[in-house]
Amino acid sequence: MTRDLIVDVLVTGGVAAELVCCLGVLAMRSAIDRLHYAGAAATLGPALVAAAVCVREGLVSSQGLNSLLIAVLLAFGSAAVAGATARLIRFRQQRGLESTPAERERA
Amino acid sequence: MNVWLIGATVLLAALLPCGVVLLREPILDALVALELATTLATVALLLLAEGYHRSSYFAVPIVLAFLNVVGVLIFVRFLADRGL
Repeated sequence: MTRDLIVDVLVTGGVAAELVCCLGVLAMRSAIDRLHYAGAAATLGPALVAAAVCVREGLVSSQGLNSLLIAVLLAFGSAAVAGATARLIRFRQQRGLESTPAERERA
Repeated sequence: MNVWLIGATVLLAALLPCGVVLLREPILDALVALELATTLATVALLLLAEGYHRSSYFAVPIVLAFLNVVGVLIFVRFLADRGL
């Protein structure tokens, strides 16, 4: 009984985390701000869902190990993708990656 | 109906706001929304695989989690060249 409750809480938390990131992408006004939410969506949500699968099926099981693999792939993959996308956004907005004189003064 | 299938249904419905951003916003914002949509789809497939209690279904989200990286990097490479 307790285990089912833990699973329900973890799955609900994972889905809620994804919904918050979804609302963030919808509400933000610029691509770089949206990118923060899209990157966050691949960390907390999948980790909570993978934890729920491990609680239900056991860590050393086919489902448990597969769900951990998915969570790790999403976390590291989205970090690489967010970095590449941020560079693209910067490149297209400033026609280059170097900092502008105004930014150098502020730094 | 169990908590897994309910969660998957909610996440599939959450694809709609991503579609709105994809269709209405500039191309860079659309790319970010595509990234989020793929992540949501991957987690939804993970929930469905566990909800139907079939371990063989886990292969689909694993492949999608990997292809998400490849697909977006191809878009980034494409958009960096073109002045769209």
